[in-house]
Amino acid sequence: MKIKNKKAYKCINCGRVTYPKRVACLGCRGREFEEVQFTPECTLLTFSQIFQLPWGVNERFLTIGICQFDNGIKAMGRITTPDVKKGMRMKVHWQIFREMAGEDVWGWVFEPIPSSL
Amino acid sequence: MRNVAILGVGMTHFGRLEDDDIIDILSSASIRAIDDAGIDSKEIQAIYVANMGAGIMNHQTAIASALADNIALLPAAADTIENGPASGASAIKNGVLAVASGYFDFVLVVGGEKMRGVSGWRATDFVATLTHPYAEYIYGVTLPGMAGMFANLYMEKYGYTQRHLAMVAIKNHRNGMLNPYAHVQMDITMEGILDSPHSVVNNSPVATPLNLFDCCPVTDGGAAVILCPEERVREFGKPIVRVAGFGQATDTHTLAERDDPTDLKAVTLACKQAYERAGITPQDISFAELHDAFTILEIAEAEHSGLFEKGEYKKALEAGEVEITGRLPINPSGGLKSRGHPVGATGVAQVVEATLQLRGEGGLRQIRNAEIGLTVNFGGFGNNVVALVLRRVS
Repeated sequence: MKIKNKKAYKCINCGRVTYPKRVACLGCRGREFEEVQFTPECTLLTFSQIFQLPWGVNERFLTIGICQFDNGIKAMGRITTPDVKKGMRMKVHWQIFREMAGEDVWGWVFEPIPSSL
Repeated sequence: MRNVAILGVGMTHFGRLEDDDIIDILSSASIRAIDDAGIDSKEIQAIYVANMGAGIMNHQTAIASALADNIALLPAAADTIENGPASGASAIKNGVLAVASGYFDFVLVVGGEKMRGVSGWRATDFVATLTHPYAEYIYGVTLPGMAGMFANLYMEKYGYTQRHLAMVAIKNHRNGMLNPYAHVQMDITMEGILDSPHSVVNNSPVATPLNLFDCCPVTDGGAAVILCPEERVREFGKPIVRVAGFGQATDTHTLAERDDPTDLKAVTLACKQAYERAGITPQDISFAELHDAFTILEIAEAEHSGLFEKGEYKKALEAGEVEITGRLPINPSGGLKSRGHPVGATGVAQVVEATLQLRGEGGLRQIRNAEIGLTVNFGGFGNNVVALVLRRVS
């Protein structure tokens, strides 16, 4: 599967960071960007433990959340455990986490840092 | 631009319409609206069909053309409008513009969805396709999951509890019991869904902190309106319900990218535009049909539409102000929570309800002194919202 979610971008004109990629900057409509690296840790902003899952997800439940990386980028990802709280520090993993239509899917997986709360 | 009025309305029952396919559903709603208007169907010049998922769930595309054929409206112009769960109000907006511009005099707008022909897992997946394909959908997130993440933030910021969410559900189920079109005809109590030891079974978690009774059902159904120039309504002996204003606004595709994910900017902007076009303020609204796909959304939309200050809706719930008999009834139809949510039909069904209320034809759920109604149709997870203001004209 084509990987389109690994990189964030910073507008060269106004500095606004965008994730995922888009053609024009939401801040100034600029069209030139430079890549921004994700940080190895982030903070959990919100999450939900989802019990009624869509077709194609063969789990009993999923915990999915939105984290803010230490450079300000925000992104959704899977969380390794439902035992989490908002504000928790998370370790960031970029990994294969499921298969769709026979292809590996890469994305963000967040793992709580136990001592963070 | 001409003033545009609603000449006729019609709906199917909302629920599981086992024997009907998507064209049957659209046809039934359309014929009822045509009959309600009292118009000869050969007068209809254009059709706008609101639908989100026939191509995916029913394996049928180009449904506007199929509908025109099935109900003998040929050679009327016919288009399908797809704007996710806001398809219904988007289609009405397009119909209003077509009449207001003078291009057409009589327009049929019909929304419909056939969702129960597929499994719950498939329907959940279908709705989730409106999320961002690479930044949201791939993780297995669902719309209840998006609403759960939103609710976590909103409840903490504005001091809401699961009791407040349950109050929304109880109110809307009670209203739905008075609506013969509603999918879920079930009176529920705080004891049954929150307070008793059995509530964890009765009201099991769907996507924390949201439980079963915080979520709308998966529904089949259709709703339709006939639009015409306001000056022609009297020819048909019908009361005049004017589409006084509309607004529409978009927001970021991903929830994560919003500066403040609790701020439903598109709701605020769409309502502001609708009020301005109608020449009113939120204080002039008599009642509203809000897009309560999840109980938290009724609260958040009521507070982003200007009807209530942020964090104040809980007081209105506790005081009974938003009941059918209250100062500002919200979702007298039962809302999506009880009436159901056939996604393409919902925005049209909201307008059908508002029209019935403004005509004084709300039956057992008729509110008092209905003068001006607001509808909010919430597309995506708040990334495309259409608001309409309807007004009774003496």
